[in-house]
This record gives sequence, structure tokens and C-alpha cells, in this order.
Amino acid sequence: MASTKEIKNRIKSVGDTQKITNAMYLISSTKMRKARRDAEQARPYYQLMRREIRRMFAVGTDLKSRYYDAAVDENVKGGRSAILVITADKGLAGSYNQSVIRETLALTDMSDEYTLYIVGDYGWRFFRSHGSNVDTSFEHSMNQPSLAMARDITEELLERFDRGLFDRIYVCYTEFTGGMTAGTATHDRLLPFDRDDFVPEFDETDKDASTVFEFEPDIETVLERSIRSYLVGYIYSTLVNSYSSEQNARMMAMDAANENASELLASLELEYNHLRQNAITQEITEISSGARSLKRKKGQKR
Amino acid sequence: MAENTTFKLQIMASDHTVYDGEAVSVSLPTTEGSVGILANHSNIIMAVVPGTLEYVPAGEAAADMGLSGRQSVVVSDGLLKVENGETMILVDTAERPEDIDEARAKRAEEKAREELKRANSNRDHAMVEAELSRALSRIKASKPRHKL
Repeated sequence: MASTKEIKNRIKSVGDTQKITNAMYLISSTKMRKARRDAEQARPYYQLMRREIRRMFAVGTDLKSRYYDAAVDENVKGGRSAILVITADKGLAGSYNQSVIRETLALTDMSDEYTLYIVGDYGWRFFRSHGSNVDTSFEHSMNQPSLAMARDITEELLERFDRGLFDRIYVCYTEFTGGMTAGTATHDRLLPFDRDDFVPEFDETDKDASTVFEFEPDIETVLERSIRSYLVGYIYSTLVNSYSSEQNARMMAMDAANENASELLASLELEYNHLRQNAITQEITEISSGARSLKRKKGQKR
Repeated sequence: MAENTTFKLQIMASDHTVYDGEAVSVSLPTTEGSVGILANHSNIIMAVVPGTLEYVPAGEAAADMGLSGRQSVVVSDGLLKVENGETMILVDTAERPEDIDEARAKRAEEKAREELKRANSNRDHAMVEAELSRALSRIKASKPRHKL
């Protein structure tokens, strides 16, 4: 059986661990609140931009561009894909990183040719050691997501897309599902756009579709520029979603760790008291039996 | 009735609203060169290119924001839309010229700070992670004995 001193030490070390997990919980909750507040500020702009893109798609039904296809088949095979993977910089976030990695691997298994563009040190380390085809010139850490960061990522991907290095761009990220949930790892196609994603939102009574506009210089140019800007917003939202999910997953992991530590502490305290009680009982027994035998000796002398 | 001399103008950057209210005129750089918009312009959609946008605000919104006379804003790529006399300008970024140097310096500073913070936090995190996994394995190894 462990000595009381040993148990005392263990209680101290569990207590220290709990302090750390508790601090990490608080840090994550602050970070998440800030990210969501920033995202709220950017939302109106992208909603308006989306509405204008939708309008242009509704007006120009016969437009063709490398940025959008009337009919893109969902079959990933037979094309070169770029996959933007959004992971965390750090672990200790439950299954957060693993879920995104699994989603990515499922996607790479389906494609003939792919290049990974990884955000976050965790994914970077994993895919490099896993022997995946990673573009090593693309380095972004999963810091607090910002529009500037989304802009950099968009520029880098579009530059390669414009050079014709690949036919499709996907993004693997974690969708924030709110509350105490870990979020869902998922993938979306960034480019080419599926015009159907926009058009069904229209109906005949929609006045957006009926107002006649003049386009200068022409609808293609305006649309292409809008799409670039819209992509920034889209990537930003996947970053914020992932970041919030990451912080949420970490909060949950730390919450569970806190709880486990409390349970462990309780059982250690119990064992400690038990041992102490035993020791006291034993001491009393020893003293009283010692005293009795002394008394008996004295009695025999007389 | 006299023709309106002002129109509704909304200038939005991706991270904030620059102006939302009445205006007398606005001129801005587009793919077709500099374009000026006055009240009662016909419906149009144009692509905005980086350059300087100038507008003359009017009415309550301008007074509320303490704006008077010609305002200029440096904008990046975006979109201009005039719909039934209402003008909406969506641009990626918009900064007042006097803020630009300051804003750039601030961004650089922020970036440097972020880098530093990230390096520190990643190192701390690695330490904490190692410590935690040590603690967890110790706990795991000793757990059966604790079950009373």
C-alpha cells in the first residue's frame, strides 16, 4: 500500500495538472468569443457580395469562365485538385485534428492527382510525415483568423489556379455547430463555382432578377472580380468556423480533463484519509497495549 | 417637384462600413477609368479597381459622423452598383489616406507581435502537452491502486 506521503504528492501533482487544464479552458473560451465577434463584422459585406454574384448569375445564364462551370461533375477523379486543409497548430483538442485529417485522406484517396495546402502546424507535421503531396511553399499557421490571412491564402491559391496548375480547389475544414459540440469535418469545392449553388435562391417574384442593369465593361469582368473578393470571404468563414470548432473542442477536452482530475482528487483524498485513520488507530493500539503491559510488569514486581 | 440632388450612398469595406447615408456625388476608379455618380444615375454595375474614391456626403448621416466637404478614401478591388438611384460600393479594403501609413505600420507591428506570441505560445503549449501526457501516464499507471 502507498504511504501517506506518496499520496500527498500525487494529490499535489493532480491539482497542478488541473490548474493547467482549467487555464487552457478559459483561454480557449476567450479566443473563441473574439473570433466570432470579428466574423460578425465581416458578415454583411459578404452577404451583399453574394447577392450581387447571384444576380449576375441569374442575368448571364450563358456565361463561361474557368471560375464557374454550368455543369461540374462531382467526380473528383481525372483532374488535378488542390486541397486547402485547415487544421490547428496544436493538439489537445479532442478529435478535432483527426477528424479533418480523416476527411482530407478520404478526398485524396478519390483524386488522381492532388496537392495539399495546409493551414496549421499540426496538419503540416502529420501530412509531411505521412508522405502526402504537400506544397511546402505554402505556410500558414492557424493563428487568430483574420481577413488579411484569408486574403493571402486566396491570392496564393488563385495565382496557381490562374496558371492552370490544377482544375479544382477544395477546402477541408470543420464546420462550427455551436454549443458543446465538436463541429463537423467537411469539404467544399471552392473553384470552379457551381452556379447552381446560387441560382436556386431565386424565384420569379424576386425583384433582383427583374431589375435591368447596364454592366461596365461587361458582366464577365465584373463577375470575375467579385468572385475573387467573395472567395476571400468564403475562406475567411471556413477559417473562423474551424478556429471556433478548434477552441470549442479544446474547451470540451479540458472540461473533461478537469472533471477527471476532480474525480481523481476525490478518490485520492478518500484513500489518504483512510490511510491516516488506519495509522492513527494503529498508533493508539500500540500505545495502549504498551501502557497495559507496563502496568502488568509493575504489578508483578510488587 | 424639383429633382433630387442627393442620393443614398453606401460604402462597405469587408471589415467595416465606411459610409451609409445621403451624398451629393461620388467618383471612383473603375476598369473603365474614373467614373462620377450624381443623383438619378441609371442602373449600372461596374468593377472597381484600386485607387482613390472621393465622395461628398450630405444630410444627417454626414452630420452624425462629423463629415463635411469632400472625403477621400483609398479603396481596393470591388464592385459598384446603382439601383434605382441608390448607390452601393463594395470594396475589399478602404482606408482614409491619412490613416494609411499608420494602418500599415500598425499591421506590421501586429504581425510581428503575433509571430512572437505564436512562437511563445507554441513552445509553452509543447511543454504543457508533454507535462500533461506525463501526468496522464503516471495517473494511468497508478489508477488501479486508487480504485477503492
